[in-house]
Amino acid sequence: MKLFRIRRYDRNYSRRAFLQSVMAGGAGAGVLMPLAHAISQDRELATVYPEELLSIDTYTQGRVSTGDEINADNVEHVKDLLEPAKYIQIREMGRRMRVVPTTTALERLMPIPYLEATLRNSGKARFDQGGNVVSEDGQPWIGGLPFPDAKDGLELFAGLTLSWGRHDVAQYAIKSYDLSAQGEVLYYYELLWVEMATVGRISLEPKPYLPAHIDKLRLQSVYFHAPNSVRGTNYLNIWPYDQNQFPELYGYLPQFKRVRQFPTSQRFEPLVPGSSLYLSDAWAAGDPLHTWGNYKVIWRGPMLAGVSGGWNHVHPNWEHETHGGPAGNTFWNTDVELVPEAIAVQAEPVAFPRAPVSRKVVWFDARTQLPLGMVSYDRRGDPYRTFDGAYALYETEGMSVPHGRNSYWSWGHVHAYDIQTRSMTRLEQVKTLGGGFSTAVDDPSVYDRFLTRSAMTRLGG
Amino acid sequence: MKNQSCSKFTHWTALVVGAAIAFPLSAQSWKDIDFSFNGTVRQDAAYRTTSLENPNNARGNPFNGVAVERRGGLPLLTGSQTVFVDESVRAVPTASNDFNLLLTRAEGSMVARMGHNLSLNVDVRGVYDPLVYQDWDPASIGAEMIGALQGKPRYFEYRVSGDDGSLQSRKTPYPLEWTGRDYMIDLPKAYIDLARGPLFIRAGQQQIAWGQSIFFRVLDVPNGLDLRRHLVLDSAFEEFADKRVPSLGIRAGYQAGAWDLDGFVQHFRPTIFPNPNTSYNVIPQQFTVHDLYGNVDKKLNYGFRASGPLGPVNLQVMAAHRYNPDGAFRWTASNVSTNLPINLPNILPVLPGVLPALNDVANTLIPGGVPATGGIIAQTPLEVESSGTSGVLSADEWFTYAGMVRLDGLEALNTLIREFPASQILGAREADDMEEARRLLDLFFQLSNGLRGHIAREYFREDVFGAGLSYVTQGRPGGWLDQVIINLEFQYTPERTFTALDLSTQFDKRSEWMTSLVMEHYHRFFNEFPATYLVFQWLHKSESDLFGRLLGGYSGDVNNTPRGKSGGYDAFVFAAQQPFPRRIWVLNAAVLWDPSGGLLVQPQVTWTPSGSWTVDLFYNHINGGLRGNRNGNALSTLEFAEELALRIGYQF
Repeated sequence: MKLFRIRRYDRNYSRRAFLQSVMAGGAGAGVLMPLAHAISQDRELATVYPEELLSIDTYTQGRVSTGDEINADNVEHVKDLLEPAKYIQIREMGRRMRVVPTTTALERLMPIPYLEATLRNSGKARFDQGGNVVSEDGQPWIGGLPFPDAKDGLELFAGLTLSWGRHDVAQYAIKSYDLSAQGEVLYYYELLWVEMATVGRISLEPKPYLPAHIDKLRLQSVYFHAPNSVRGTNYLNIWPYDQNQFPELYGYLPQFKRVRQFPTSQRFEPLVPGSSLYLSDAWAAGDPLHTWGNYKVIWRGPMLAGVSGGWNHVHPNWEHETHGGPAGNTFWNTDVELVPEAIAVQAEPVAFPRAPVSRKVVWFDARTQLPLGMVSYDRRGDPYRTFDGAYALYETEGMSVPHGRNSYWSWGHVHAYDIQTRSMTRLEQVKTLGGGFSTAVDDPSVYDRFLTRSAMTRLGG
Repeated sequence: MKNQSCSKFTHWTALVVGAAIAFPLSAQSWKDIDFSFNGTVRQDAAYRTTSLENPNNARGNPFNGVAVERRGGLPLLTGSQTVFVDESVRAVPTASNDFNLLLTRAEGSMVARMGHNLSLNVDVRGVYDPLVYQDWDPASIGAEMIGALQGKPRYFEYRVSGDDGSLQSRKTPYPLEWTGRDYMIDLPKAYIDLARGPLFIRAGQQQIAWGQSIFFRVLDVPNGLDLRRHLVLDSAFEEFADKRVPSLGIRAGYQAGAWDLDGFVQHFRPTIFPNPNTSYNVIPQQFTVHDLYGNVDKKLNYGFRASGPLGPVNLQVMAAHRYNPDGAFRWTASNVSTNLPINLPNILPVLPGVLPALNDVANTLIPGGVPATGGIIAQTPLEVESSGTSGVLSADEWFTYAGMVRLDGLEALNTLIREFPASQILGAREADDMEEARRLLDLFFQLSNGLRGHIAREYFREDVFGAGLSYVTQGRPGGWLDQVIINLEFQYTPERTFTALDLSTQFDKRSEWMTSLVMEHYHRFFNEFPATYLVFQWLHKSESDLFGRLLGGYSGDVNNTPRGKSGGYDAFVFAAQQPFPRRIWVLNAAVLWDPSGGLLVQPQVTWTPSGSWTVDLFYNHINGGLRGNRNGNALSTLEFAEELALRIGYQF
């Protein structure tokens, strides 16, 4: 006798719930119960989402199973779980993705200190008259997600803009590959990206603020380590806390042999030859919050995204394998899983009247409010560039990258694809670059090493 | 004892560097050191696009092959009346070069990092020039001058007077540089970086740059420029990347909150001008330069700067106690004892036909020239060069070149006579006016068939004070007034030593103000293209021009002593950079405008087809005759260098 399990909440139930949510203007996350409520209780997601949103097998009714590879042959079964560009990449360009189980433990989806701060500070955030997130006493935000039960697109973007990497200090060693439409690696860069929170600090003393920088949001620098033509080039962004102001931008260009200040209002400019990455692209929220506007939730639903398998622990330097495209190297090997609820938010570049983009859509993981993907549209409204990445808890098979008492959580790799020229920029976070530049987290010494003008001079050589 | 200060300093620097290396090596194994290497190979070429040869070179002298009437006289006896008339023709074929520059260069870079706080950085630069130029070869046409640099052109050797004062006898008095006629190898950087918290120390061979202004060196005072490779005519957007003279020193930085403190102690090294008869030579080859760097090559420069926020502006202040790297020039005794040849001036109309024969007879009867005159001339700044090819041959040439180098030809003659009294033994007397001077000069040129001038280059200590203000505007998003970075920089140098217009040994000391205004802005003209980077700069100097020449020497020419320039010197820069999407192609344009009549326009395209290859193509258009006297602006000095430049670089 065959036993059937009667599902209480079928696929249409979820769809209805998401549709109602969007029509209501994007109310808080969660299907069976508010996500924020569940988080505050036991952090398990099974009570928030029905089973069909937590299992690809169930969702596709067995057409795609955990462990399967999504490719051109079966992509139609998961088309509604993919951003349009990713769907085309799989169908036409040979992109493949391996499906892994849905992660249900929140502490594996973001840094634990950040999660704890989110819980600790829940309900304490509000916007002040200037549109900046402040805590109950009107001071800058004190850490964690300010709006864990985000009610609209602005609140989602506010949280992302306040903390990109969700660490007080993050130092990413990055290898970047710029590929032509034919799959030829035309440009290769090694760079170090450093971001340090000056407010909303959750791990490092002094917290929640660096007293000397309470008027700022973050210090962020990017240092180009290779090739020789750009070696020593480094930029320092000093972000004011006021999200109506542009950051100050200082640059050390090897030809000038000194630190100079640069205009920063134009944020859609490639920093180095061959790159299609802009300052504006960082974390899908690279500009001050209010230089974009008309934030609007336009879609909710489940999605396939890489939120857990982005660390390649097999490689001693964490470097990733590639596949697909004309030369078999256009895409990172990627693990994806069913994200039960993603929220697509559209925004327009209101402070950039001649920006090459007319709007962007960012898909957030409703559970963590992390960006899962982004697509920008040109001035004609045609899709222009698309981004997707993969996160990971750097802990697997008995190996881990320590971060205090926990394991390191971060991103692993990113695709930035120019739909119109079919050129790809691939980024990966690696353990170390040559010359001793390595990935690190919550290392307060980065301030003196990377985030001052004196440091810029030293890095520039 | 004072002269030993630098050697002690150099030893101390070496000790610090050595200790910094030795300590971590003793504490760690080699495997703990991160090494990285990379390099670049680049071919540079600059193709000439006009027929103008460099007038500062023997083979570019505008008097080559030109008959010039000389009207010698004896001012002491006849005032400005002409007594002897003849005609001189400089017997040097003018060159017709295709290239100003053809260089192959290779650079290697090594970094060794020992933890976060210690690193060793070494760059090696090698340059080779195949010398495809129609070079000056004095031996082939019988020219004989003293000085190693006055012979076949040496493109990279830098030579100064020896410790005993011997002319150009000391080659490359720099550590970490090796040069030959057609090559140079040097270490632009070789230093140890030490960091501890907000303190940063860099010890070793290094370049230091200050200030926000590009190209205009208002606060950028620590280092001189090495102009041997492409003068100042490389891409304007690279500023002086390949020019700053590196030197041994210790630099320390400290981040005190938002304030950046920066100081240095560095071995003094001067600006290096191109050698005589090389493509970009800027000192007329009729001069022999006694570079007295040896007197100060053990001296140190010191500087301090602080920068940080002050309300809505960023402020920087600086002071430097340094030797001016450009130096100053003055007449100096030639110490060349060559007798005047026996040249009979033409004194009767009947003589021209028989004069050569008479001269031959006289030279046979009295070999070795006019006795005793060599010993007298050796005590003056003159050197007899009687082949008629490398010295000055006429008063016209004298005054023409005086105007070109912004000196006063009349007063330079009088000062020579006054400050070197031996010249008066030969009958020289100060001239009251230009006509008298012409008679005297032509007479001596008739008698000598060519005289060279000897000048000394000396270096003087000065205290330089500077300040800068930086402000960023806020305006309508995307508007012209939004995010304009405005920088105002000042420099004040009391009692700066300049080359006197008359080349007096007393020089010319006066205080100088320098001001620059820089405005930078990104503006998006097109939706499809990245923003255009726009730069406007204004420079004002109270006493000297862009190249440090006193303004009193402006607007002299063959017929006029300089009228000078009042109101100070002004120059303006307009520059734009337009990247194409993905920055694979970049268009640059830079315009340097001297409102007194000079213009330098440099359009450039940069192509980066891949990460390994870079191609730069740019054109240097230089016009020094937009209005007024050609010698009334700074840029006519470079007019000969109109060229199309191509650089192809490969990196690995």
